[in-house]
Amino acid sequence: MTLLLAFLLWLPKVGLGLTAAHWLWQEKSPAAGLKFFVAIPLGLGISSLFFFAWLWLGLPAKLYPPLEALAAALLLFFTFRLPLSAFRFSPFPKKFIIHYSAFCIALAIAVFFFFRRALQFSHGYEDAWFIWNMAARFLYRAADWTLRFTSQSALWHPDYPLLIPLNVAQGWFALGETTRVPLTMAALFTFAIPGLIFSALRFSGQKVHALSAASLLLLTPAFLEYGTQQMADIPLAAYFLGAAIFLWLFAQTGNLRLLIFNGLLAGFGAWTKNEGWLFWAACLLICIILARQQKPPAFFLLGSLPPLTAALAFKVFLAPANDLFVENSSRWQHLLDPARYGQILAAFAQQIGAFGGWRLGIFGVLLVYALLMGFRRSALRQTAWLWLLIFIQLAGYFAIYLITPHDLAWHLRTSLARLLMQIFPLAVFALFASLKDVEA
Amino acid sequence: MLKNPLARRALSAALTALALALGLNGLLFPLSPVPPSDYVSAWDAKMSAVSRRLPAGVTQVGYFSEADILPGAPAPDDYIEYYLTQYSLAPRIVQRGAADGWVIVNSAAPQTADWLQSHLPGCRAEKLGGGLTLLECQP
Repeated sequence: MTLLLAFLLWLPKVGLGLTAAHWLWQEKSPAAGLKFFVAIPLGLGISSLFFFAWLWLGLPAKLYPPLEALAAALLLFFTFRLPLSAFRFSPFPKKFIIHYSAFCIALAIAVFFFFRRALQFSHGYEDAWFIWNMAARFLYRAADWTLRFTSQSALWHPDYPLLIPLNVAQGWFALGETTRVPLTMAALFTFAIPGLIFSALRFSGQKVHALSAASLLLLTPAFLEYGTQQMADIPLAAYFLGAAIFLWLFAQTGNLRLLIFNGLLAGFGAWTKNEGWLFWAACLLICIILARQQKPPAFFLLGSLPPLTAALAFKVFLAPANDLFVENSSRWQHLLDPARYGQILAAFAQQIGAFGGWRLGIFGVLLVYALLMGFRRSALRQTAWLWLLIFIQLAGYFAIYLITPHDLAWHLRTSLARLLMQIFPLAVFALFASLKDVEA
Repeated sequence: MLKNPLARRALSAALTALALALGLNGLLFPLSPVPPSDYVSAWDAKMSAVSRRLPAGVTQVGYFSEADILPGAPAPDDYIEYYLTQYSLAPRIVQRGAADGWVIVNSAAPQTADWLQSHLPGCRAEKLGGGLTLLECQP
């Protein structure tokens, strides 16, 4: 029963996301799936901003969830007075029944395994409980919600941003403190990612690849595992993927409004985890490159404004310094040490080779598949931006490992697989979007 | 590169079949170890005895573990247990070392009682089971 209530708790937020998506992007029928799946990260991001402002103003936290539910209901009512047929999916051709059946099986397997494991370890794994749910407990239990940032215990990362803890704490203010709240939020983000890939590829007419890519992600054990573990890397992956999809759509259509989505979602990435700042900067850089033709950076920055205002206010007024950027006199020495380059490269190669939890390297399988299927030259012009995003992000992670003040082997061992997971859905999407269609 | 549409369709079906087989295998027999039990819920339950005894106004609690009592002995779970304690007792701040008022001692080592006698004399100790002792010390 609590599980069901916890799922219902997210409906107003998804409603907010859906309304925002519809206002920003008036496209109807074929975009309905994409709007629905982007509404999940978008809505949770928007809700966290409002709740942050609410707490900052000193308003009673318990009042927020019912008011938000009411506002979402009103917004949905006035926005979606369209006939339901406007949102109908076109049926799949019968010749792809095998793919469709396989997708349904993959989804059933993923749902079963997700809930089996998530209910078994309902607080999540390390990182989930000692960073994110810990922060949520401080927000929910403390008389003063800023206590966590003013106390002297820097070891549990009080500088990490608040999108996730704010949503969890908000759920607790509505339902009481239960592990079902972070668990269902993790489920939403986890399943929104294959949904985003599926709907974006389908939107661009790649029906079979939409099914294959979504199935592949649902059947990647490490992806599901991180989801059940309530790792923030999965929500972050959803923001990276969502932002990249809208950048890719902009590259195809030239519709500048799509860059508002790009900015919003990239900004929410920075409001989720510190790695999101790098991704946001990479998106801005691409917009500046694209600006030769139009005015993309202004639209991107307009979208970025709400989440970045919150993220910057948090960093400036509340958060202590990040552990990676505190006084680190060995930074220059590390940069000039060739052994560190070799060690990091070897770790990247090893992790990428064994990535995903399959007994065969998933990237190797995808590479063979891509070579046999062939690349679409016209698509590469748009997906090149996605590959550039991935490259910048990887280069950024590489640089952080170079300068880390922590023991390098320990840092690589405890974080690299998670960092790769942040961009894995984006890489899967970029690959399938670059391929020739099955029917070509 | 495959040009025949039927072969291309078969290739994409083969990829999905491979993903089904390898994914199911990986989910049933995970490559990375899974913890044997939900240690976080267990620790939360264990710490509820401490929570109940701490007066409402207490905002900081001291913490000692086996690593303090037997500094030479290996204590691989030490940092996890410290964070678990902090997680359970939030929003109270759990500080390693002694604090005015209340101190948690997490150690089942036989030397614990002697160590407390010599390091924290004058504190009133209450054993809570599971290696936990709660001390109330005069400021």
